[in-house]
Amino acid sequence: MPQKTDRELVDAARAGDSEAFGGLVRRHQKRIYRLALHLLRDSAEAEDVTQDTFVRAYGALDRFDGRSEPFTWMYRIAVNLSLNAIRARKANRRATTPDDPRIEGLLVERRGTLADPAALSADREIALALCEGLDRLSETLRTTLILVSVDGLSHALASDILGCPEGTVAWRVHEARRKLRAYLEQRGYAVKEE
Amino acid sequence: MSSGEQRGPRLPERAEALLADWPAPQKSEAYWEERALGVTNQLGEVAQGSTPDALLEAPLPAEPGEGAQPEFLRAAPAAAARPQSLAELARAVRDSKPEESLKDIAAASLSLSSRARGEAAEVAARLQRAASAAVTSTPLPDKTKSEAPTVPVSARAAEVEKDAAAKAPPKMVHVSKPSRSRGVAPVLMAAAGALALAATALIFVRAKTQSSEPIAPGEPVAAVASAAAPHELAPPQAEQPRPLAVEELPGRPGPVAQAPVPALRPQPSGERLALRATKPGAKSEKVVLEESAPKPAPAEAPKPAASVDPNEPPLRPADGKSAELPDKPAAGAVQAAINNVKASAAACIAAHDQPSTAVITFGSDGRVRSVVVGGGAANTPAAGCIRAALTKARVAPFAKDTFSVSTTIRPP
Repeated sequence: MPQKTDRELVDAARAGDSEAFGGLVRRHQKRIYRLALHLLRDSAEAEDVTQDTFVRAYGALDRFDGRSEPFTWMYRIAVNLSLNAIRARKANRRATTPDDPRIEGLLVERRGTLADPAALSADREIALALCEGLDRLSETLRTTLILVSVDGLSHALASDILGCPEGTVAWRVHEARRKLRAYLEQRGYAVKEE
Repeated sequence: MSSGEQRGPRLPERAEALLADWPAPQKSEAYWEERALGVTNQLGEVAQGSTPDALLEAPLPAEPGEGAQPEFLRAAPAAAARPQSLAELARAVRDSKPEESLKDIAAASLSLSSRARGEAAEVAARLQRAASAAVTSTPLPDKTKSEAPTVPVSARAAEVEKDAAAKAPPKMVHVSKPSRSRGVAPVLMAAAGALALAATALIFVRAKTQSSEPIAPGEPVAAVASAAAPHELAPPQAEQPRPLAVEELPGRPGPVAQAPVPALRPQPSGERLALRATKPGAKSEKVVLEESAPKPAPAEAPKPAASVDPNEPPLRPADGKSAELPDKPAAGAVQAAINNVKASAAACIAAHDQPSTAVITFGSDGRVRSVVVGGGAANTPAAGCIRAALTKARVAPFAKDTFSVSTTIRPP
């Protein structure tokens, strides 16, 4: 049986089929969790935001006008919930620590491919610097860069999620990368000219 | 990110690889299934519409510098909302730190503009001084001259001119910035002197006229008064009756409506009326003309208003536009005026089944004179309500005495 599209699942969920909405959750929860984790830098908060994203999306199904894809619409909710959670934090959690869940996930992945402990350590160092550089970006630049460069979304989809022109997305990505590069250079990770 | 999209500045190779392939922490499929079930179990308690709109709106504020343009171009749209002088534009360009050449041009423009302003102010001040000296024969506020005896106007004006011409170069330095170019000073001084002379001559002519004969409508003073300010309709003089009042505005009382009606009519022989200037700027003309008009003899007093033809339409306040009034209000204007009040009239018969009619009569001043209600609401309390609502309609003044229109009021 062919898989239902997101729109078909949304229509079914609107008609009261909660199982159909469960299909949407299973299809998109990993990506939304990864996005939330990069934005929040906290596994527990990312889990909460992921779950809340789907609950809120279900509560707003009557306002989904179909002009965008259901997943970009849910991404937008996830970004809003993540930003709300960041702003609600009492303490400034700016510092990036070695047990940052982003780095943890990266290292688990690399451990299988990099047998050399020195290479693994170097990877860890640059990942740490990269995370610090990302954390120094403004909310706007960081979120846009995560959507485009980490999550791999096109500028068109990112502009759909962020509600801004594609040109603005391109400018933000360029600006974020420029600042990130400057920070990495400052940390000793200069770009090798070919 | 699609392949055709610009990535922006390149990062170190290793960082680039990490960024492009950054995995999330590993979770088992059982974990994800459990999470999905947790969500679907909650859905039964979620009401449609429970999500705040704010969560569906575009996140993130604009980044500073987003859509950046050169500073002086970015400032342009906001500034364009209001009219700017050349000096303001030049100042904006200078302050926006453009190229050095542009900055120089802007600075030069500003300098020229302020210099021109200073010279204009200087000329104005000198003219004012000369004029006040000529008109009032008051000595200049110069201590050495304050005790001098008052001299005849013409002599005083000549003295002012002579004094100004004699003192021109050094005095100019005293009045304004010493570094300024003095090239235009003699010209300005000559202009001031000429104006002072002209003012003196005018005063002289007026004084002479005042003592000898009344001013006829065609004389220059009257022309000056009419050019300087809109004035009340000039009643015709005995010798040269002016047809403007009655003939040009048949049946329409003119702006002298506050005066007795006969003031608009050709006056009996020998009667003289004063030409009145209404603006303060025409003060000197007013004084001269009023004094020049001999007071009418009591026997020749204007007829009382009661003697006016009773068929003549009533007088209205002067608006100065009587000759331009349309015969009757435009159909569109009447429709719009009624539509504005129709809803409140319709509300009066909300409980009725039948529509009502109303005949609205506008007076020539644009206000509603009467409303006659017919149909279902006639002779009911709703009629008064409709009348009150429709009475608020207004149209522009028109020439005819009244204008009636009928309309249907339907229950809302």
